[in-house]
Amino acid sequence: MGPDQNALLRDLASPTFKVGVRRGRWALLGVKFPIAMFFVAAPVRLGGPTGFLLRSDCTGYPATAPNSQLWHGRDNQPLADADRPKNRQAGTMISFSTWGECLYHPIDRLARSHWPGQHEELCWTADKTIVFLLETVHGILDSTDYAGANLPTAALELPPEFVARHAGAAA
Amino acid sequence: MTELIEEVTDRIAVVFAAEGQAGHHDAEIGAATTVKEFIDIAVSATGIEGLLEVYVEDAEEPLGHELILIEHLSIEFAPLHVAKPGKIATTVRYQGSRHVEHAFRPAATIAKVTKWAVGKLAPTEDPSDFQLKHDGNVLPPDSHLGQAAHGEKSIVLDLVFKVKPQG
Amino acid sequence: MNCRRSLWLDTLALLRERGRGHRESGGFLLGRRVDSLRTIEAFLPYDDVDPQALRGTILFDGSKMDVVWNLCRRQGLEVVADVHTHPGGVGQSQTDRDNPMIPEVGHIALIVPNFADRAYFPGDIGIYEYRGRRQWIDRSDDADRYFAVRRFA
Repeated sequence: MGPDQNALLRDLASPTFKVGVRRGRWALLGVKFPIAMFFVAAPVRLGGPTGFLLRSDCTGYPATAPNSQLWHGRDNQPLADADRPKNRQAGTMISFSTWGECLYHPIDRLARSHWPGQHEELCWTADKTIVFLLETVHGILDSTDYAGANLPTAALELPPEFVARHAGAAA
Repeated sequence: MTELIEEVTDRIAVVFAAEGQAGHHDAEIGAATTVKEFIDIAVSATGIEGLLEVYVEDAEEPLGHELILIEHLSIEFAPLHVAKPGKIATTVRYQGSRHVEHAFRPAATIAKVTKWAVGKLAPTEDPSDFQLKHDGNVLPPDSHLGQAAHGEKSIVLDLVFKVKPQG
Repeated sequence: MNCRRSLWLDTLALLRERGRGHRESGGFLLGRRVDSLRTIEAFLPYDDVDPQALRGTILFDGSKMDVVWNLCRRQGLEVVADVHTHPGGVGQSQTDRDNPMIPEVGHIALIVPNFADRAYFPGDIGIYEYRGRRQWIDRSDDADRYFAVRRFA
């Protein structure tokens, strides 16, 4: 097991990560390193979902920033634009746009070069943990700008490789 | 009659934050652990001397030292907060010279302080559109004020917005 | 609300320059308030605070307001209004209505048409007064009473 995988598993077992789980902010659905699959909760909106699946590539964690996308669980691919979180003007929220295979936000490995020298407090640094990523995504949704989404129920199903092979296996 | 003496040791896991530190600690307590005994556990776990008060999150008063801790844990999960004695004199700055002041307990969540500040400074608006910054850093809403104040008993915060599109 | 003519013209010129004829630009109007009278004394472009704010439409990082508050405190000023340009007319978009730059009752939002391609004065611009909870009063047709641009002695 490489040091990046060790570091991720250590942070997923940390009390601070578990505090977020117990407060209902997020949940770990599984790790198939370097991929980690999370559920992130969204505030209640009429017709809106309980939350979204977030798939993060944690190669090189924590020195390297994770690269994350909102995910469709059953289809095992990035969430279609039509299903993504919408803002009050009925457009897709900018941080969740389909601009690239990433979050359109300084925290993401693939997008951060879009804001050179800007938004330092939003950027990933080597001393951050996976909690910082989840707090960031949860915080974007937890605003009056988030108006809900037409998320199909199938999108919240676990992708096949994360489903436990044997009945009764620990989640 | 069978005499069966069964000793059941129930260890309960609690989570706490310590004044001046980011992150949380796990600790195990017993059914009879007092608040004072828990403080000793917290001092060992964190290495911070001088911790003397235990709060339930967002509570106004610390727990009495002789109380049995598990009888005072809230039903809804929330981390405890362990701190040195005293409230934190909190100033929240806003536009121009406007600011508001209040002494909060170290266990106050940033969300609670934000809601109070917005109620004073922008009462027509929704607190979820605002954030608090300390020394240029945005504070996570679930964290405790005592964690941001780094062990000091006073703190100055800025009330700011989230992203503002205008088209 | 009052503004010196020379400052207003400078503000429009900066809006025009930052917009480069093809994107919306905007900024904070800083000044003083005495009772209900607001006097504009300075213009602070959004992209001076958040260099990434102008992207066609304006997307200002509101978490940078501490920079604005600091500046205001140092100069004894406050944000009395904001101004931004539209490619066409001066009506508020839904985005404009949902996102008061300063969510304070009495805050004034000004909209200048045509990417500020020339000098526009009250009567040709949008003037909107914020009443809280995303409600606004349109003062554009009553410009004379709400916004005076004049040469001061």
